[in-house]
Amino acid sequence: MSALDKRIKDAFLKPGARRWSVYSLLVPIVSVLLALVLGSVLLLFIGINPLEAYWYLIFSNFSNTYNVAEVLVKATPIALTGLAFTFAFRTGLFNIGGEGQMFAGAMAAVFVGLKTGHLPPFVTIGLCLAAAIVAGGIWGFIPGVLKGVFGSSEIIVTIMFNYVAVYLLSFLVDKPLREAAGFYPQTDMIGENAFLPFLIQNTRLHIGLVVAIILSILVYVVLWKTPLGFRLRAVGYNPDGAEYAGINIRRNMILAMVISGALAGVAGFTEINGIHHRMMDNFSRNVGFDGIAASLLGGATPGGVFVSSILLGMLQTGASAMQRGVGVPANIVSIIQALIIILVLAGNMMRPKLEMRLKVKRQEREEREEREARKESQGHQEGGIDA
Amino acid sequence: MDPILRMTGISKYFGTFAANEGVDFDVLPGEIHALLGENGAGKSTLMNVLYGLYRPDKGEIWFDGQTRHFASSRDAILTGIGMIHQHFMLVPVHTVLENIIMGMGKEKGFLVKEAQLEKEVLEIAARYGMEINPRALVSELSVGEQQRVEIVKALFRGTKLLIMDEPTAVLTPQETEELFKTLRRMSDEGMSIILITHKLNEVMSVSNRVTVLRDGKVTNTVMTRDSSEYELTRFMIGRELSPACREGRCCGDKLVLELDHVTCEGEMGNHTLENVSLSVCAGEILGIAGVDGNGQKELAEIVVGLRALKSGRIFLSGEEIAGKSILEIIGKGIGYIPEDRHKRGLVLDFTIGENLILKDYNKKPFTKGGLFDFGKIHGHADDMIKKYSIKTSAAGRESEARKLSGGNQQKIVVAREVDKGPKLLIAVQPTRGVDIGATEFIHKQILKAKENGTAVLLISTELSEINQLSDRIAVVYKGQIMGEIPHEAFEESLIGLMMAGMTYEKAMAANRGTGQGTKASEFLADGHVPAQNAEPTKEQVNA
Repeated sequence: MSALDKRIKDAFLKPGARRWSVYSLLVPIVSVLLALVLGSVLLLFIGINPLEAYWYLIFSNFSNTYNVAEVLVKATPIALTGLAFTFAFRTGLFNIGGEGQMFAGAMAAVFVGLKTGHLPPFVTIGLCLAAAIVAGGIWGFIPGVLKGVFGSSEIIVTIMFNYVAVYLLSFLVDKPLREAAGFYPQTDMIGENAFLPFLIQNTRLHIGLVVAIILSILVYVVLWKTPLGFRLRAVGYNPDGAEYAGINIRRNMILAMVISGALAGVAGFTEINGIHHRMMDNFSRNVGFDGIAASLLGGATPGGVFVSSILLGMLQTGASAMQRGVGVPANIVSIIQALIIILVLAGNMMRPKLEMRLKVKRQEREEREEREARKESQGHQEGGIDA
Repeated sequence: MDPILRMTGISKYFGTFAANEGVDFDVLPGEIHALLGENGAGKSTLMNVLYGLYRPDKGEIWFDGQTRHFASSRDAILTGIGMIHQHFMLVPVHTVLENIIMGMGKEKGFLVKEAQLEKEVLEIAARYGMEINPRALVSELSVGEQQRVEIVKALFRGTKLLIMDEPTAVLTPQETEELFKTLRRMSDEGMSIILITHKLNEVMSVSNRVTVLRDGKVTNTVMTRDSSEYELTRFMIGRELSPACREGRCCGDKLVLELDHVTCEGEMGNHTLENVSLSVCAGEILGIAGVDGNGQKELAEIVVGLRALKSGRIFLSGEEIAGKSILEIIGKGIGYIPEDRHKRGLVLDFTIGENLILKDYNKKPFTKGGLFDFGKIHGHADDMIKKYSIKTSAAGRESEARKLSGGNQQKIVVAREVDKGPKLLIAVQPTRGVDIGATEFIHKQILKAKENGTAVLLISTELSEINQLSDRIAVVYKGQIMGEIPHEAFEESLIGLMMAGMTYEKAMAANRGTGQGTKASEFLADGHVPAQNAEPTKEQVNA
């Protein structure tokens, strides 16, 4: 691991990966609120009432079933790429390639969906999912091997692999998989049998949400309840200690990257088979990076990731409502999102100090109470003697 | 005589933890004052307060005629307090002279008057009988020489009171004796010295007075000559010590570990181990003595497979294990207490329970059907906590290893490695940074393992530990075994010579040449090597 890698990881993520405490909740909540306050300064600059803007940003999401469903639609792939980041991170790896791995999964899913769309739904959906898992896994495997065997920085390699995936996708929709009509740079629709079933009528909410929930639980169980997770977390916390205990660091790093890539690949599958039903240039951009944000915000725990991705989904769907309502560019939400992340990281860095201060305060209070209690009882005794 | 330094009622809290509480401490001019205490007793905190690195919460410092408030170490240095840390603060790529004059403002003007400064430095060194070469690069010097540079640096800065933090931790016995000679010379010249240490024999041999700290408070200040090691121990740990005692010798016929001409290469292509041949029998403790960094770590790591060897063979109970994976080697019944428990021995963010199953996490009974059986894991943790009296934090078995004291962390490692009754136990610096109580406990565990037939390879830089536990002692120097002696022939001066690079035969000759080699028994009774014994020995080394 390069010195720089280590510095980035230690400075930004170690404190956030600690065990649960009040701060695990406090830091993200305060960060979100503070980011909204800072964002309101920006809104004031462009002469817009922040309260009005935020009213649209938040409450528009709950105005009807469709909008609520839409939040979950946006949250689903973010949750999956967030899980991907979380899984690698727990093994001490910084997988910035969720975006590329998702696209790899999408490419595989669309290809299989095009070819097997006529088969029964159960079969074709299963094949699409499997293909997406394999493709995402391969997209994680390559940086994993480069990291495990040659010691290359997985941060750099996965970032680069994002570009490879994006441009490969551009090429595919431009030439080999271009729609029969040949008009737009996009593929044909996949077979209808490969469409994911919808959960709520007349919304876009599909069964991918259930997949994300199941995988969240699965990731939690694997990481914290199985020997495999024990091994991966040992490598993440202390590779030297893991090696000493006979754990093969290389193999486990590669495995973690494969699983991480596969999880991101599933996001590609849900986006293709659940929402777009075809692949086009520039679809679902930045979902991979939003996943990283969700993971950081959620303290790199599956439950936290899920909640955070719903929050990010809300911000994103609310943004368009805000644009329509008060004429604020929806991009302002990207700024707020970035502020949230910066504040969470800052909060995590301050966390040890805050925790220490809290502990000292509590002990001081206890001591004071004890002293007072003692004084009181002494007072009583003395009173007794006087009498 | 008025003291040069008087610290009264010093208290320093970290949170609610009292690192120092109401400490009174004074030093006379020309005195060597030992500050004795276990790890965590508050020695370093007190000295950091004095050196301006910490501000005391209560108390006063009176130094050299007036009350002082040090805001930083710079203030302390300017008033004439010098400190030599355990880890030297030197720039390796600079020359000795450059290191000495660095940052003192004496290089005023555009050009440095090197010739004149060099003369000044040499004068100071000569006054205290120290030999230094101002033009040598620090990176080329031995540890002992680097320490000398630190001392000269402090003297050059006009230090009146010198604080030395565990100065002997990295030295051979001979280098230690030389250091003590310098210290005595400095004290003759009127300099005051505070010696932070936890080694009783050093206190007895060099200091005039001793202040003992325990749990952040002063338990006593006594004249060294009016006290004894026995008494000081009691002040230090608050009770009598019943040191672990080895009994009986090994059976000697059941060979467990055998190293056959093992050579191992370091990162730079240098030989960190060269042609090492060793053997350890069941029920025997082989002690490896040597100054830190002479291949001890490598020796342990090649046996357990963490490091590849270049040539040679390693046998465990007759079966070749070199080249096998770490997991396979562990599976053959090797327990390993590594040198650095933070780096290797523990995952600090894991709980006690998790650390206790670090090597058995995927074995029965801890896993069932692919999932952890937390009932068994917790039960195991509770058993070990009780059996090895591990003091947990408030969270009990769920406490993270990070939150425990060094001694309790080490007990986790010992419990994990010893409890299974391994065929071979490799213990590297098993009591480094561990308080006396835990040291005693760990030593007993090692002896117990030996009694149960475990072969023990004990690697330590603490000669007293080697002497106390080993049946045989081998000395390692620059990756080579200088020789091997049975415990009965333990002599500190002999081992010291071998630690400095003499083979057994040469060291024997040199040691006998002095005619007054210190026998082990005398060493134990006196608690220190009398100075006159070591001096001629040193001349032999130079010759």
